[in-house]
Amino acid sequence: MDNPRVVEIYKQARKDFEEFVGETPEEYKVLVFIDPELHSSLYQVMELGGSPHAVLSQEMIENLRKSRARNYLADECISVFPSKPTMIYMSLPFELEQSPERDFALRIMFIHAFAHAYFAEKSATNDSEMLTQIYRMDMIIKELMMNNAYGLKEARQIGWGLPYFQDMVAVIRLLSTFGVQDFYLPPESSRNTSLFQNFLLEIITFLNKRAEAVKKKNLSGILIEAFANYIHTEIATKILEKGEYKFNTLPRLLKPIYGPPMNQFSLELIKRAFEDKLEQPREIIQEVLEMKGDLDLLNKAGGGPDARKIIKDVRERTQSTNVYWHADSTGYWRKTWNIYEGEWDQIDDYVKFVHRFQVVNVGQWLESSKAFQFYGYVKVDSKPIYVFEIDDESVNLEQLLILHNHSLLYRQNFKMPTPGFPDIIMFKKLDRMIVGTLLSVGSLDDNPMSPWDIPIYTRAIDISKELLDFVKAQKEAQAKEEETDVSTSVLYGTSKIRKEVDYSHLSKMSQSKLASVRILIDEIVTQQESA
Amino acid sequence: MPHRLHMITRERFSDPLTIWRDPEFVFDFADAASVLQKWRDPRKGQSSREALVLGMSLENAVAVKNIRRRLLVTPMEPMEEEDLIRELEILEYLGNEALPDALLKVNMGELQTKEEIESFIQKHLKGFEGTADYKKQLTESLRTLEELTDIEITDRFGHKMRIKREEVMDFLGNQLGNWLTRQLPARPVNETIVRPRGKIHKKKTFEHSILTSQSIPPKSIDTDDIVIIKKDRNAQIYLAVDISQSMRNVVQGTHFSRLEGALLTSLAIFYYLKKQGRTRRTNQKAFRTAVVPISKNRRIVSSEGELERFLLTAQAKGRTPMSASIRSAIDHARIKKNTQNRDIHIIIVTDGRPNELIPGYDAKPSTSLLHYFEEEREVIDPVARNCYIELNSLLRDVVKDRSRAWKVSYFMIGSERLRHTDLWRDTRRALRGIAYPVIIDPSRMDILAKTIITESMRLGQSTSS
Repeated sequence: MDNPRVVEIYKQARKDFEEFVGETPEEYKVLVFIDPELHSSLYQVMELGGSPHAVLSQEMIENLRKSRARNYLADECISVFPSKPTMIYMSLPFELEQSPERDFALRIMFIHAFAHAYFAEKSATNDSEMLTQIYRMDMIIKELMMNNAYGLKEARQIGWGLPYFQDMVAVIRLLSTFGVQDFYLPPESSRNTSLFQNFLLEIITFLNKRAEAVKKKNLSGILIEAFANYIHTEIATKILEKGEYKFNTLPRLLKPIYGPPMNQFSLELIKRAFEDKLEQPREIIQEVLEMKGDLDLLNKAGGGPDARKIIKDVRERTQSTNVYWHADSTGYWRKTWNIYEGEWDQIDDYVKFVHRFQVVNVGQWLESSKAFQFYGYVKVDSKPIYVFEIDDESVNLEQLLILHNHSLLYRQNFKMPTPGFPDIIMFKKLDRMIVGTLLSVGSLDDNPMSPWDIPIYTRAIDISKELLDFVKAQKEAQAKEEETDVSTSVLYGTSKIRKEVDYSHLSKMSQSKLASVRILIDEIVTQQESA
Repeated sequence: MPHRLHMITRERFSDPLTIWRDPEFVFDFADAASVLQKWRDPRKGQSSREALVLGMSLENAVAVKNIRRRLLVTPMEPMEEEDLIRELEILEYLGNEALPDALLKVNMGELQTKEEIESFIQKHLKGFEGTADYKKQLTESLRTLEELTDIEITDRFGHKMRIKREEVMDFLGNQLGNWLTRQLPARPVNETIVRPRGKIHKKKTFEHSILTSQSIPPKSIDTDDIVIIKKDRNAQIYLAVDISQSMRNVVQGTHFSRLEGALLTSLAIFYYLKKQGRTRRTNQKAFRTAVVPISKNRRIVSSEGELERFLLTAQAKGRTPMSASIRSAIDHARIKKNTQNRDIHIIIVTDGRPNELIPGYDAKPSTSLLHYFEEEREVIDPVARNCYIELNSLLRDVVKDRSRAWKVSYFMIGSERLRHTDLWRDTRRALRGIAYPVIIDPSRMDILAKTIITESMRLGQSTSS
């Protein structure tokens, strides 16, 4: 190794871990990034896609790249993917200067990562097993995509292949995770007709399998963090008490594993759950490893209401101590309060939800999540337009086209290479506004060169009272004009051909959303008239 | 057990944030025409503005999420943290206030162009506390926010290319400008031009006379040998483009209309001359180009912003009020000539007869033209005749100007058969002593720009000899 200091600290950390737990994890890999930028990108991909090799949509990647360019991405210093073997990714700013604080921070981080790896090996949850499967599937999906799209490009000069597949994989993965699995699958016999068909068949099957795997995974976010935080905190306190280093407070470098509310809450939770056994850490570890998910730990700590009381306590207590993790003391750090509050609210909601519905795995949790909602459809001249809401930043207009092309909510005669399925209206919440987006496909004259060549028509509107009022006023003015304009219509006949619009298949939705659906549908009606 | 530590570099581990795109693309005139058509599509305009705001909001949301995470997790220096919090505040404000309002205004059709959207957001931020320095930074970040992949084209080899909507004009202009440059000889306009004004270029004259007399040193220097350098002369070029109804005709064998061909040609020439001006290494702009649409509302399109609007909104309709448009160009040019001492070059592109008069204009045409109409063309429609008379009067007036700074070129879109028609004879007679009309085959709109540049150059040389 080129850096003996890292190796020494690494060995030291293993020793610490062995002393405290009695054993060390064996199945893991530590990957040290020389380039911290690369590490933060990887962290994002893991966070958003679920594994280090997940394919993200172009939209998301472009936005992330910009965020990265402006240095908005978190420098984690450490991130762990608890598959088998556990992947421990770290970037090493530590070698820049030699200071005992850095050494200590690195040591504790290694211990934190070892705890994750140990948990992945020994725990009774199916976490690492499922993640290993997902990891493998993502690898295969990525390879499939690269090989097939590369073939398309090389053999048939189809340049749109790669970006289209990238988006397709990302969008279908997202939706299949939310439980929407009605995607267009070409018939098995078409496997030989084109690479595209073959690829579609393969990839969608894989993505559906992946979604199944994700759903089977136990909910164990709090449990894992509790375990890892408990171990590293205990060891760190001991090291500091022993006076191995000149300082006896935690260095700020440890912010990533001490600062966030999740870390603080999970540690407190495990301590409260095992109040009577605080002197026998190995027993605590043993018992935690036998737990199957977050619900077990919450029950051990006294169930939902007690856990929520812990949240309330820690939340209030840390309001004054969080400043420690922030460099600025002139008052700017106060502006981070709402960020902490937001995080706490999320944890609170999660705990409340898990306790109320006694949720064990991700599938159950996603079923009742509001990230994806289907509202039924509107019929315009027997052609349905589907309405749904999705809360995810990776879907924009381009990705909407892919959704359109592959959602098998409605079948019609289609033309190759991609089928044109129903038109869609999608709602999405963006900060304060809720945007309604319509994607409608015009009539096809001949076979398009690529899925992007389909004549599409899109509108995006902000659902606000102002807009609804504006449209209403406009309509009234138009109606008045028509009244006075009778003579022309007598002369030339009315240009408008009334279309049958049927709203009866829509499920319940808020008044403003319904109103904006009407606006967008109007848009479709007039568009097709003039086209 | 250090065997488990692996050092990872970019070579070993590729960046996970990659977009797989196809960089190769072959671009020609027909591609340019399809881009222009897509760009001009009014329906796409509205939805693309909406998409612009939507894209900005998405990016904003991603940025806000990431900054929050970074603040929670990453240990930072005081200054860095303060900056980040400030940026977060601005981005949150953008996402919660500015962008929703902008989308609303776009929905209502109040914001029409990208610039309007940008200035609207800027105005929104005015009430927001922040230093001027920060505002500047924000303008930059707004610029990076503008990501809209809207126009997609395929070349004949199947390569795809996506062009950002607000870059279309610049992109097309540069493509066409370069393409025009490739078609033309290396240094066409700004070198030495044989003209009876300015300083004598001794070296060039000497060389020229060596060539003609075939001896060194030359036996004599004739007047033909004299090369006069056109130094420090700047030119103002007016490209008068016919946008009457007939321009709506589709160009044979293609999918675009004459109008679109003419628009692209104007764009090509605009960018070509812009580029030529840049290579001269003077702080002045050697060429200024203005497009004069021959239409009812007389306007001179001289800036890039105006050109963009013109390209987006021009429609082939109505009659051909050529003399009126030329007159406004001449008025505009007079000011330019008097204040900036520029040479004026008026290039007219049309596909038929002028057919609208200037109300109350007292034409003073050449007597020979009057004779022509009286004696040879008694049957001509009086309006068309008067139009030619006006045109002749206007152009004769400026070409005869003592400064000799005026030059006129006239291009007619039509087949070679045109030479046997009355239209040709009338036009020729009306332009006698002013310019020699050049015929351009309507199926070759793609070489229109090249023809205009080379022909007007040749004309410039021939009138002087």
